[in-house]
Amino acid sequence: MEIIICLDDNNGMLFNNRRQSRDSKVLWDIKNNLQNSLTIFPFSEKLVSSAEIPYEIMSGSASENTVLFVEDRGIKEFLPVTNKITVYRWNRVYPADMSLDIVLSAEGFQITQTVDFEGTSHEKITKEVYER
Amino acid sequence: MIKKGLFVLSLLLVFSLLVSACVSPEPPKDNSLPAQESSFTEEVSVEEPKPDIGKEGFSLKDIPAFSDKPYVAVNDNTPYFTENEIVADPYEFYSELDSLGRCGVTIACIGKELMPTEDRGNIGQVKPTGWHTVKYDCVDGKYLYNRCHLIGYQLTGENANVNNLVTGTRYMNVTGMLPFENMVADYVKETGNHVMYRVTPIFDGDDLLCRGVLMEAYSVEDEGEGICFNVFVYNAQPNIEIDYATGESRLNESDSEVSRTEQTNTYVLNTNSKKFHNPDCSSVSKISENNKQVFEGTREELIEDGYSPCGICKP
Repeated sequence: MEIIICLDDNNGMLFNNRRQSRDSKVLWDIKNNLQNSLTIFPFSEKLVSSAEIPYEIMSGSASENTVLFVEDRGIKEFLPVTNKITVYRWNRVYPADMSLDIVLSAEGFQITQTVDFEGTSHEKITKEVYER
Repeated sequence: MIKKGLFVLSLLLVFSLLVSACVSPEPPKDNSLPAQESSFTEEVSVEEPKPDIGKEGFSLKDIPAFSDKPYVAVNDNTPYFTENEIVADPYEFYSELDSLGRCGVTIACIGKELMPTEDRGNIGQVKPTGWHTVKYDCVDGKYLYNRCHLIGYQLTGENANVNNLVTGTRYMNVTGMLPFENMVADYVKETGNHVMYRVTPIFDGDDLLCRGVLMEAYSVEDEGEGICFNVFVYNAQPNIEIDYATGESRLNESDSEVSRTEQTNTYVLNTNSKKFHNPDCSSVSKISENNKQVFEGTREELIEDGYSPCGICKP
């Protein structure tokens, strides 16, 4: 399974139950690299549907081909079935009261790809792919 | 666009705040906003500003002492805006300074229309109340105090507006306020929506240095779904003790490794060439009066603001 997350410079994800940031270029990139549909939690439904990304709500267990977009919770519970994590870094600091709940390197993930691109509202977004 | 010179709008806003000043609403249970009523008891008047009067629902006494976090949520992160204060037409308002020279409430409807298209200019000539040019090795960038925009430059493009600049610690400015400004700025750029945004410096009595700032924000078109917060950001700096009455500071005695330096001099600036000179430099007399400006502060401060030293007097 692959997990996709967005992080600020402090690995933050949410503040006051709201995503820290968003960028249509990130959504475009997710959509562009998707083979089938994106698996999401209800929190992300409005965002993903606005970008016309095919999606399904997470229910039950994930399969090997699942691509799971996570915004509103930690990802530790999914690690046993995860072999790839894609991180979009905003290269900004935002307030955060919920942050990533793991240290990627400590979980055996190695960075295999790094790409910088300009977003619609962010000067530089860094896409990092981790695999194990 | 609509700038601070819109006196009529200012009066309307003042009137609005005064009208809504005496009502005490039930605190909202969620992030929805109270209708009609305001939790604002602060009276903002052009003639007689009273920036240190607290808000209904907000009291400095309820704020825990600064420890290791730059801010604390207030009112369950629900801003005090009332329905009639929320508009989608961009504007900005900055209170006049009070009798002690202190800033008061600032409020804006942030939109792309107000955002700057140029890099920030020099603000080194402004000396907000409580200002001291003082350095500590333990502070990022050395300088304890920044001229701290209440409404950040990236949001409304205000440079040296004295009604929008307070003396704030580096920690308050960068670690505390900036992340919230970033979040609002990027949301506005991405969505094209507007955000109601209010920053109020909170002074205790006649203190010259604010204890912190109350930052409130609420995204208009999506009714707070994108942006909604209400936080008190401490005007504090780890390892430094601050006298808020005067702005004087000292190293926390438990940290003896850090040294303090303070070097303030008088310089003459050429705001056109961006050179700075000693007052007795022969070049000073050749500077046009329109471009000449006296500056009291440090050399490093000027360099940080984009100035370079004169090659003749080598200040």
